[in-house]
Amino acid sequence: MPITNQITRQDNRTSGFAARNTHPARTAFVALAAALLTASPALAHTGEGMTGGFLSGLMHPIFGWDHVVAMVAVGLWGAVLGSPAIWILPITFPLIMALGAALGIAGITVPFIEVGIALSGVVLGLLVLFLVRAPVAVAGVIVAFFAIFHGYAHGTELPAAANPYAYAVGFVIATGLLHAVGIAFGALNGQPWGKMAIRAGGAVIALVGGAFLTGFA
Amino acid sequence: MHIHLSSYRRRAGRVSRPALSGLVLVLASFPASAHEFELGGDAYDDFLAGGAAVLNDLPVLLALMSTGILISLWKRQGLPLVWPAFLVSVIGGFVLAGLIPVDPVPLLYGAAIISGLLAVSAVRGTRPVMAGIVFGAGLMTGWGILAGHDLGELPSGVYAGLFALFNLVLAASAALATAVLTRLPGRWTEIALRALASWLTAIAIMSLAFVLGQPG
Repeated sequence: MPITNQITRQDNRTSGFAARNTHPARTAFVALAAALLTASPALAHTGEGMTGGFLSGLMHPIFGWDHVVAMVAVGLWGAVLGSPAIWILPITFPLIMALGAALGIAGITVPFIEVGIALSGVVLGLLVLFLVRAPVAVAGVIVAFFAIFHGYAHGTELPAAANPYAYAVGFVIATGLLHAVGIAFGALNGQPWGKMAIRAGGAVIALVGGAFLTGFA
Repeated sequence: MHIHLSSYRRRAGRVSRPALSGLVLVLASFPASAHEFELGGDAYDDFLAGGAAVLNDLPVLLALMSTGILISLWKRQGLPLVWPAFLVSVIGGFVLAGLIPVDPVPLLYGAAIISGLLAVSAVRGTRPVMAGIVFGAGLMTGWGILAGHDLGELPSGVYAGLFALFNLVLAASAALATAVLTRLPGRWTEIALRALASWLTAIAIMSLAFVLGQPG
């Protein structure tokens, strides 16, 4: 068969897959629902071992894989959606995350924090995997929703000895840099193999999130 | 995506009275605490004490940095156009601090958060509007940093140090932003500065939460 036909067939399969993504998405969500029903709480945060300050704040998101995958996913999904989402999402996340942190510092109870953090990796990873193109406002709401959980975790896990201001500076910077990593990875979109690499990244993110959600990590 | 202020002007009249009432309640609700200065030396030491107070005051730094970014996003050479308003506002803030006692927390963090959000939004208004924004930032920070101190209580060197560092931080922030925008022209540079402003705002929000969460 001529190469052009083969390429066309691949493109049709790809666009067909994207167009029919409700079917694999439905399967994924059924699996997710089953996992949620049987999941144990993801206990990725111990709040121990760090002595605070700027480095503590900087390291906290980076050494928590559940944080890393979600923040990279925000940048990656923004890159998938393109302008203006590519910059609106990484700007929205730190702002709402700070509000979540304020809730944590204030001692206001927000339920299912660990589940929310793990779920953020799963959801955002799946959104990247299936190249879901949501309106910017919807994408912003999704990102903002999960940002609350991440911020709350940062706020409540501030080490007792930490300089809170330096800690805040550190983890905000780390968050922004992780978004930038995701955006940079998303720049592969322009490459012929880029879409596959991005979708693979989304799959990895969703798997890591799933591992935390089900207690394997 | 830029936000133009004409729509804000139309809405401003409808919310100004409740906003003012809320502002009075907020300003009166927090316990007052004066910024401490290390005095006892000569005029130069007082100048350094005043300057150090600015560099050690996180919300003041955040507010001035965000304002500097905002001005450069508005116009590459925007600061000279609005600087007179800032100079007047800082002095006005110093005077108000000595006349009207308020708690610095809502003023300083309010300035930091509002100026940060304006920078994130890359607000572009007319020159009077931008001068008004800069005036507000200078007034709130100048008022807040000297809250709790009577007028003339501090040596003149302290006021000079404060005034100098207020302008230095604002000018340095605007200059760096302008330099980046000039040397790396393009949409991405502006987006990066707006992202930086979002970081500054996030830090201000979290720092405010820390302050409010502290006992006493």
